[in-house]
Amino acid sequence: MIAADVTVINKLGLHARAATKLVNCASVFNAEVTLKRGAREINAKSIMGVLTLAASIGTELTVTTDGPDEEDALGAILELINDRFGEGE
Amino acid sequence: MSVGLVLVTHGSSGQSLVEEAAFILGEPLEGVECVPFNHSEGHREEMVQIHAAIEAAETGDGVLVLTDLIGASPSNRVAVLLEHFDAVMVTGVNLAMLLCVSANRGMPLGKLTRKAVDCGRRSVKIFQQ
Repeated sequence: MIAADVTVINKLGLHARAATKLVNCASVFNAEVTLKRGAREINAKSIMGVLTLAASIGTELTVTTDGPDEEDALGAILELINDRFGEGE
Repeated sequence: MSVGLVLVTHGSSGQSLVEEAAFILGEPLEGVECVPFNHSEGHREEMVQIHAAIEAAETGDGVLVLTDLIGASPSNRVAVLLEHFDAVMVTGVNLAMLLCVSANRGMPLGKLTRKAVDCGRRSVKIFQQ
């Protein structure tokens, strides 16, 4: 199991379409992927889980992956968030 | 496996929810029928429309019917028709519920029904400064 902290930096935060991209990204991997905001931890493969984080710009999250492809999964999730979900701002 | 989906709502809110869910998910929702109630149809016509919509959505894996307001005409009409189909109704549809259902259409009807209720409820939260 590995983990990394990341900050949501896109202007619109983890909104519905961004959440869908994150779920689709996490679902590609066999590893379990969780997101933690404060004490709240959710399954990153669940659209409702991700949306209920209500993570706006500046929100700090901890991404944890656990499984045979955990390194690839963690890298992909971090890249997606740091790339502002492809939104450009 | 793909459970059929029908939305029966006051006005065209069901169709709007379907369009927004498709936008968020980035792909059209397949096998979804919407029945709008606009207060201009008679009781018989409403029953015929709902019956036809459930029939159209049925693919052999059952049908999940989502309605907006418990106890109101759309829900009451559907409730009467359920016995004719392998179908389940969940009231109180919202966008979160529809997103969850759309993302999990491969689940068996019973499990998908519980998922719909869980997601719909979990999306209702209080936010306060």
